[in-house]
Amino acid sequence: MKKVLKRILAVIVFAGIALGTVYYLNWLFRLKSVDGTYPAQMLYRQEENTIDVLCLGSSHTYSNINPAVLWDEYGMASYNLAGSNQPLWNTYYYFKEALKYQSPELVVLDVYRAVESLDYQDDARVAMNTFGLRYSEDWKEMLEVSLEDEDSYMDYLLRYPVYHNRYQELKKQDFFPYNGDYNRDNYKGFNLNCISTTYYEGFPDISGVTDVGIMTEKTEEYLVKIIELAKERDIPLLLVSAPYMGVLPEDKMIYNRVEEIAEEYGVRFVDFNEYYRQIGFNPATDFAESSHLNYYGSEKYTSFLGKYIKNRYDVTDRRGDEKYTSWEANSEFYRMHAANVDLMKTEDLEEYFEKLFQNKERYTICISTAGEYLGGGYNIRKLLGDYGMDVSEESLWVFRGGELVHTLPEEITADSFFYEDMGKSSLTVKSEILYSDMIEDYYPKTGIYIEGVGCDAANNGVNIIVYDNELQTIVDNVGLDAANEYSFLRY
Amino acid sequence: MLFNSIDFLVFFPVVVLIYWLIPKKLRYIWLLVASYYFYMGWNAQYALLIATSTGITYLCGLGIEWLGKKEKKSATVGQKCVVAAGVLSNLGILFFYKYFDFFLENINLALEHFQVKPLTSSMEVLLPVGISFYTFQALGYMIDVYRGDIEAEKNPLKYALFVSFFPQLVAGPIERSKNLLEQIRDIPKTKTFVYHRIVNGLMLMLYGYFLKMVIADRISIMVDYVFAEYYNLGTFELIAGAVGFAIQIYCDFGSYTYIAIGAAQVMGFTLMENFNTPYFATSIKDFWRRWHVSLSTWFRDYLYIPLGGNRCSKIRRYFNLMVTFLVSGLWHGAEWTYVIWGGIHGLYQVIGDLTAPLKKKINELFEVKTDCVSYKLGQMAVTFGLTAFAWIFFRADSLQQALLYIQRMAVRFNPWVLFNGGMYTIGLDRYEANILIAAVFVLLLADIIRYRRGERLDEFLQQQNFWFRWLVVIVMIVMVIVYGKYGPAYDANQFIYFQF
Repeated sequence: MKKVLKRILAVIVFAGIALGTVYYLNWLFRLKSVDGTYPAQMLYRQEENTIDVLCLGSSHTYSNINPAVLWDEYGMASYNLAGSNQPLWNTYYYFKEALKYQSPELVVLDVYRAVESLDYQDDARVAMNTFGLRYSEDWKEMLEVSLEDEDSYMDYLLRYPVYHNRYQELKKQDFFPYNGDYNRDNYKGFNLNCISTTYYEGFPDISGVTDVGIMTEKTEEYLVKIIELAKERDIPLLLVSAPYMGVLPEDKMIYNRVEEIAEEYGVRFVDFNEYYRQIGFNPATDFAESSHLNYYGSEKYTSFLGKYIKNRYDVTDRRGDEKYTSWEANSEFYRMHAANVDLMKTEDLEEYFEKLFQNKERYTICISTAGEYLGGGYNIRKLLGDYGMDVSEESLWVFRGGELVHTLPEEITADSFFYEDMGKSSLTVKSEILYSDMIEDYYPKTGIYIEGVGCDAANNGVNIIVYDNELQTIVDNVGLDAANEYSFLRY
Repeated sequence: MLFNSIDFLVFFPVVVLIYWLIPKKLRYIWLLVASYYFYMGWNAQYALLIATSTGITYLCGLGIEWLGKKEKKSATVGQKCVVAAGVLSNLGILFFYKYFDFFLENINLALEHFQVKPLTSSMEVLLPVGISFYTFQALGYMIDVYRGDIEAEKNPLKYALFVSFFPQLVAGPIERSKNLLEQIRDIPKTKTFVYHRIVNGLMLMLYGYFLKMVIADRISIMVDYVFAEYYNLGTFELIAGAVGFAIQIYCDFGSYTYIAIGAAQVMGFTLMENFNTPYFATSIKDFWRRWHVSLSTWFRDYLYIPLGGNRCSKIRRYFNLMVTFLVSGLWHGAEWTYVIWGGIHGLYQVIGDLTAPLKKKINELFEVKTDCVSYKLGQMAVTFGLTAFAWIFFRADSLQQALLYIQRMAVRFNPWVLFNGGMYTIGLDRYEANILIAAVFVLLLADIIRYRRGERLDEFLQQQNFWFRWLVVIVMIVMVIVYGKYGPAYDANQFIYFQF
């Protein structure tokens, strides 16, 4: 009897270890992409019945609608539940799933994917736009309507077989909860798009397109299903099309069809491609590329959208409500994140230092001179001096939380080693006196590293590496190149 | 259904659980139903075919026994006729499904030579899975009854289960009636739960999955590449392709056997061993005592010995050997490449036998020590080289491909690919190659244990402390579910373009 009990126990313990291992592997390998599964996974981390404005759709939703702006300006508690290129048949099930946990006062649906021309997306996208949701009968139904190849149904049903060979592309963030995102549970589905390399002159004009296009049967069926579901649950629905530079007349024709359907069902549809000037866009700075706004643009668009919502729908202002602190935290995170991105995009010397030291409380700033650092056609000596760095005395400065914590003399004569643990990362400053056979003499070598990342963009000039102590991430790693009028060199 | 399919992962536990729960007397019926369901997973119509073969050999068995009782002589004319009819009809079915196209093709080649219009066939014959295996198993039974080695099975369902027993139905081991049929008859006497039997069976299955999914299906990527691009490759890639295929086929086939033996063991059946560290063989003859044992002993028992075996003149013996190996080649597939592969193995042995005195003289002349490890290792290396060389014919799509492959291997000497990373450009990158090397190392360790201690991996692990056993099993599970090749053809790189 004792033997039998021992064996039963062994089987149970072993099964526990084996299942635990499998569970961990699944957790590790599962798709966590911010443009697909992550916003869906994070829906379940939101407190129940707190989301007032549920924003559905594709990347046009998660890149353009900025929950921090809706919160700051209107006190709206919004969440972007969207996926890249998400077809409306997936959006329908996302909506249905969200209603199991949330009771929004308004649903905003970006209808960009009404232009979908296929009845099935490729398999990888199916995974991206379905695997974020929990198992349920609805989920299985969604899989059936999404997956073209019936043979792989079992693999998709189990999910793990689909992504198990991600082992070659695992990254650091895969091993951390929340992908290592500082925002954690406060995340509201926004994807900060910092691209602003595409410059546009003027805006597209599609106002003259009055023809009505034809949606695929499947897409139209699910658009109607979304509208009917909202009606059934008595939730106001706002259909929008976010502005994008690449909007085509064919797209507009589809939107005209959406408008017809909207009218038929008595819901509002706004094509914001007709409001570029009213929104106040600057074509040179606000667009990421032909399909999305960058975060500057998202702030303007969201502000305009929020005003539109405020004037027409009853959405409660939740500011000051303790239940909604996560929206406040998300806004704060967004402001920090946006300031960091802003710094990284700055290319004017004085403006850069101003922004850098504005946030000195939050930053670890390492600045060092390298090679022939003077004479770039600008008085760098004075600029550094203004911020407390004297190049005639020192050649390296480390500021933490606004305090100067480490320097190296202008003339390095001995080896030195400075190390500071900063939580997720460490800071190392190392100076050595080395011998060179070539010059037949000793020479000093200095290195600054934040968790292995060196700060040496410019051979001749000033090198700067900035670390955000709060968000625990490198903000900028830049060299001011003396040979080129202190132009900004970035990795 | 395939062992490495999700279907089987559901099928097997369900079958086993029900098998354990139902009364012992009904168990063979349940297994028969499960076996037919398993087989029909490929094609429902195949069931008719296996049922036909089963029916014929079942009746033949009864007939032989009945005639034998009547006459009480060793082998009557009637018995001989029944056996002949049984053998011919079964081989006829096998011939039709497996060799008809091949036969027609070659007839047409000959006709073309005489400028006669080629024959055409209006039939599209699909090769039923496992037909060579179960046909041989059924034939073996009939001959055993004929020889009086076993009593004919009266219960048609029990006999049908013997022919269709799902663990070994489609890829062996080819069971002997004495072993498996006896066990089927003894089902009511078998204990349901024997802890170590079940645990060892499961471990063996896991090891089988490891061999198949981590090694065979990974190395096949490289092998397929080399055999497709052989005309652009040089000596070392081509050697890698041939050696790779030797490993692939061992793991592919060996894994099937392990899963079969393990699955049968969980249910209380002991199947015969099929692979016994074949690449540690010190001669080709030794290789065939270790490789696909259930088939080589089948040929030995039912073909080679009836032909006269060893007990005849040297020339006759060589003839018997060549016939056996040529037929064995043909058994593997209806292509000349398989026949040649068989022929090469026959020749290896004939030549080995003929040159044995010479080898002995040379050894004596140079005072070569033959009882030391290095000599044995040398023998193993040569034997492995010879088998790997023969595998080229087995794997090649045509004779022309095999010959060109060998020609390029001989003359396109390119040692630089060993140094410039060229070996990582033939299908497996560094990362994948490292996984493969680590996995092959595990296989090597397991085979060394088997070779030195005569223990299968499950038996070896059972003797170790539980923590070590658990560690090995968990690592193997992780290897299979992480590095195993399965799931939809999924290009993770696709996601790079998916950012927006």
